Amino acid sequence: MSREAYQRLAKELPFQHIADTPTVKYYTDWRVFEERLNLESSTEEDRVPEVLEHLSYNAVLGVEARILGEPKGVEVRVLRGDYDGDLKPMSLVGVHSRMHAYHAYRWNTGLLVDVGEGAHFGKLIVLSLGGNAYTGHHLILRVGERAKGRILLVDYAGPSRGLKTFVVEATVGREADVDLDIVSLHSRNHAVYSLTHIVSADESTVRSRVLSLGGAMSRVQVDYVVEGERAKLSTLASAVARERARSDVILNSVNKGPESEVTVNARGAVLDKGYLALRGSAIVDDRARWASSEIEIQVVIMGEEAKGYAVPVLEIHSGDVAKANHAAGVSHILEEQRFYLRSRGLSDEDASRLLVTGILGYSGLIEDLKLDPLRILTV
Amino acid sequence: MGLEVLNLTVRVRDKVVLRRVNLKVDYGTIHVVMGPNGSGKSSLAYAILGREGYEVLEGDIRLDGESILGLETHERALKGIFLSMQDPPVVPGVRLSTLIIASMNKKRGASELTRISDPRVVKTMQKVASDIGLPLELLQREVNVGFSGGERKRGELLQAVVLDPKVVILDEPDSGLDIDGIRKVASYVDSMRIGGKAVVLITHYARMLHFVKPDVVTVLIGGEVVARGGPELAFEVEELGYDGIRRKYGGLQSQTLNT
Repeated sequence: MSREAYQRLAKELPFQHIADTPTVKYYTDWRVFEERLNLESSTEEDRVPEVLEHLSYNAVLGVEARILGEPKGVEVRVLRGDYDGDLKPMSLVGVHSRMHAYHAYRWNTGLLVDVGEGAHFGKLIVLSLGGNAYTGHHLILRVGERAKGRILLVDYAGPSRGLKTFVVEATVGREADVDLDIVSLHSRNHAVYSLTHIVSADESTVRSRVLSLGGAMSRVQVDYVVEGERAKLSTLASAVARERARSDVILNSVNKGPESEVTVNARGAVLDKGYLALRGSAIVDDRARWASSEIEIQVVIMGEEAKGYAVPVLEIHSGDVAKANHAAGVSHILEEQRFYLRSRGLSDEDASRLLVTGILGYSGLIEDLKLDPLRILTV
Repeated sequence: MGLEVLNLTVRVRDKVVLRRVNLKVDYGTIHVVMGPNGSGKSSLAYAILGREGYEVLEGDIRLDGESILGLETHERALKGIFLSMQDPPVVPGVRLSTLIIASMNKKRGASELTRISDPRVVKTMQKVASDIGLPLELLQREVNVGFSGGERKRGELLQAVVLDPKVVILDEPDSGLDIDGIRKVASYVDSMRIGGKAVVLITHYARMLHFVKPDVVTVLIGGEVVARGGPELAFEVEELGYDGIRRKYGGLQSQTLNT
């Protein structure tokens, strides 16, 4: 489909086809995106914040794409809009909504990453930076059969009143063993639409961790399509919305492969006047016989005027399921928990700090990447 | 010196839960507080820690002779009073090990809240956890999330040991434990006494007292102290029940039981 066709669809398609629930029309505040759709393309990219400076990036997506180094067995190329290879942009994600079409029409910087078959590539880190207006990044990631290593995608959006769309389309080959980590740090004024779509093949293993700090409106969606037989996926996610940030973090999974296994565990904290929806649909397809899927989400509301939602949905279409569970909880910090922490010598300020850093650290990314949780909160 | 509760009357909302209670716990002693459900045992523990909503109408609480009534809960904890709760809450997002490290850092006045300031704390934590039968992986799990009743109790005991307070209040540390667990808790309680701590052991039953000998036993019924004595009182409770104890000692007033 041509960019012109996408442009037309970006006017015709709705942001969302159906409301999320009868009581909350949309968890994403689409108006924030709508009022920024006419922004010009960014001429300046955000500076890497201090808290992310210490990471060794292999490639950076900003106003343009820069390749800084390729791990062994990995080929990184600049992706152009006219790319006509095996996996064309938007071919995995599809174009079903206004933001899909808008991104397909406007994205201007991209990368194509190929991890070779059997490559033990160590670590690959890609950084996506926002800018002073509209920034659109597209990443195609192909992990070959039996490849093994860690991929870290860092999605940062700085202090300007910008709009960023960042779409990642990934395939993970048969028997590959991959850690796929996503860090989304969005500062207060930025609106970010981020969509990662991963399709994994037979007997592959994907361990994914997600860390999200919301901006003016952050929609961070990760779709895990566990296509292969006996393929495994596990996800740990931490999400925080502070001040007036609004975040809609969605962790969807689809078991398609027989005997495939999925677990999704997420923790969220909402501070001040923040808003956080932490949700996910765990779908077991009719082909996925004896598959298992578990999703658990807990959100802690810590601000007087904060709003939080934990929405896991489990849909089973297979007659034979090995395991299927879903659990959710939204809790205010109770007096009992406050008293408990106080009785351990912690002031209310210490207790809040401990809870927020604990939830930020739940995915394990803070510790592994040596990120300072308190400095993250000031992004 | 140690902990003193003097003529303490406490109200929660519109209900008086403790009336003129006196209690003295010296260092190196175990003071058992017994009573039926709703007798005010946990309220006494909460009042000592200054829990919100527990309003002191009269009396005083002193640590080493100094009133702590004007202190916030966390300040009382930092002074060295530790409460092992009967039913400790879940704390999503905070690992048990992180909570212990943070508490230890506050106690030592470290500038960092969650960074390990002394690696020996981690070693002690692991050693004690193994000894009390708390699986080490639970140290990395969120506080009490998915813990069984017994694991919660062990988690509380672990904190009581590692944080090394001056005064330890154990609110029903034996509930949810099997006989081996009770024996283990009892041995830790005894070593706390030997280590010079003032121990307040709150319990329904005398079963734990078969393994640890208290110095003083106080029976609390309806928020009032109705009897006080040596270890033999606990077994009398077992024999007579709380109704029998009330009939036998009910006329005594707490003012006269200022042991």
